[in-house]
Amino acid sequence: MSDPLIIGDRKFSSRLILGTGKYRSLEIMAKAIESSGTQIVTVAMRRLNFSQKSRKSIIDHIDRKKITLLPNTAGCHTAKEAILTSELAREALGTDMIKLEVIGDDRTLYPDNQALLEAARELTRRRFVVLPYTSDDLVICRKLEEVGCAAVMPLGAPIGSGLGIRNPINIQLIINSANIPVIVDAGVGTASDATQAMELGAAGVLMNTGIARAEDPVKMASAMKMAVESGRLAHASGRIPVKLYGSASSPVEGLIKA
Amino acid sequence: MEIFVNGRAQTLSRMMTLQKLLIELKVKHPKGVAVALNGKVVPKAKLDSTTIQQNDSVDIVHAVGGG
Repeated sequence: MSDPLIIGDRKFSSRLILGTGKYRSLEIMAKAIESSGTQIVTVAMRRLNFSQKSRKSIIDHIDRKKITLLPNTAGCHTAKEAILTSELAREALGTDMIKLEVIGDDRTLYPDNQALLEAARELTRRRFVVLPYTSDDLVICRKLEEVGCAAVMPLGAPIGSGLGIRNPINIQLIINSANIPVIVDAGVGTASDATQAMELGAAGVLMNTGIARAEDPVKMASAMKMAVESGRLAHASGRIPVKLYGSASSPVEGLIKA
Repeated sequence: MEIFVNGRAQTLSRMMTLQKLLIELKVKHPKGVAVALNGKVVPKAKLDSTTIQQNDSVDIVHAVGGG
């Protein structure tokens, strides 16, 4: 595998991580997963609804031989809730990977970084592979790395907003200082947003709404696959410096005079 | 006996283990399901040896779509 994404002791050839929420049907979700080429998808943990007749599980629509499940702690507002949800996910799904999320504000869905750090510290102590969703702040990302997180996942913009990478400088500063993968999580609305994240040097991009709520999620998933690959390749290619004035691409000697 | 299952009060006619409760609730395949008793995860191997007590709070969870 050339240029793999390394999380903990696992290697992935795809750098695109997909959420599984908000799809119109589980069938469309499965097709989008397929066309995105992703190898990691997130799921949420919820109480069973006993009044629901159909017990068809989302797990039945995901080929676990090809796809690694990344359960999340979405909706948790305290470290305690996030830790219990992580333990339940590990027991239910048999994975120690966790997308750690502790919400601090319901309108913006911005994380409570203090509670996040507390939960991350405890979960790494309990041998979880922790991928925290965090704000785009260099200092909190450094602290999350120090407590043993396997990656940091700063937001590009609020979850589900499609606003793109609102503060590329912050993402750049985080990438420059981190020694673990930086995965841009949340805010991606279209392909160029994903490419921008990868061009900045992100190790990967995690998205859900941008694909699930597109008019054609399967097509958008394919666009995102190419966007992430393009951005990665461009980043590795060493772009030209930005200049204020033009410089001709054709020779300036031997010009035809009339 | 009064207990709470996923936050809802429920009356059990007799003493039972968590395993029996799952069967009564028709959670037939505990694959992909996890159970917490009073905020602590009960491993699958211990469901059959854990008896529910009065006022216990049982959470039964599974994976759903999410980002």
